[in-house]
Amino acid sequence: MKTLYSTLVIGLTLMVGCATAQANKPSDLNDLEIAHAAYTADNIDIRYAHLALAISDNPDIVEFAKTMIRDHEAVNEQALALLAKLEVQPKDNFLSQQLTVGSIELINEMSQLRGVEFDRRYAENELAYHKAVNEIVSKEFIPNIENMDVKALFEQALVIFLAHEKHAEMMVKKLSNKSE
Amino acid sequence: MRGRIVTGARVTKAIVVVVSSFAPVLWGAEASQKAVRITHYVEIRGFEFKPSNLSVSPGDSIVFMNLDIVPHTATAIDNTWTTDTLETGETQLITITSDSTPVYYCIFHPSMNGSLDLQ
Ligand SMILES: [Cu+2]
Repeated sequence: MKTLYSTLVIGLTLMVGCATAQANKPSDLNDLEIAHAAYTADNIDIRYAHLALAISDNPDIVEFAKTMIRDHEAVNEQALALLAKLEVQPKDNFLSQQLTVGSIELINEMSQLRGVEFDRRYAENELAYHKAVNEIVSKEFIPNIENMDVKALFEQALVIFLAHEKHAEMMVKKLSNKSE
Repeated sequence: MRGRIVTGARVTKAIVVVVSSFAPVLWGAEASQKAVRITHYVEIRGFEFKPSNLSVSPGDSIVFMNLDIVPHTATAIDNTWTTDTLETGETQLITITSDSTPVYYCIFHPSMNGSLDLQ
């Protein structure tokens, strides 16, 4: 219990710290920290998708959630294979912790929702989440990654996540046309 | 002599495959009314069907090849024809008929679209 509490405190401290301290910008992360943050971001989206499969019976949401699991697992598999080949370990960092804390809050919030209310919240979050992640990947990660193989994988992943962003946008639009 | 004929046939076949992405090719004079059945190739790469538009004739086939790290499908917009789930590196051949729906997409990624010009 104490461990969980201290982990959260450290996470939150880092979150607050990142607004001011130079060392806590995404662009300051090294390749191993970037890999960790991306792996964390992937797993968070997989967790959201499992929640959607448990709660929603909207066929568009279900299909989207299955795609998120399928694609993010494929990217993670490639990332792990590459890290194994390079014989390195991903390194935890402020951004990974910040992402995790945010996701716990959101999962708690979304777990309370049902029906079209859940579907809209999930779809809107998927759009916002992919937008935010794509912004970081394209502007902060890819320009700063030093290893060429890692950079190539992120470029491939970005294409996938941009398609997810478009897909989420289509889903949000469709849900907003649907009456309660 | 026989050997040369066989060789010739092989070469013709090879040419048909090579030019398969272009306009229909005709077998000799006796088949001048009927287009050869052509095999076209569509690569799925970077979340795009390449080429995204293809001229095809009934009886032609299309081989869809997935070169991405995630699975895709090529599926008619009205679901009247589809490939199976194509994993990385997998291919599948679809034969086109005169009533094949010419607009297709990927079930998993609806932002991916392709079309056929049925000749
Ligand atoms: Cu696809």
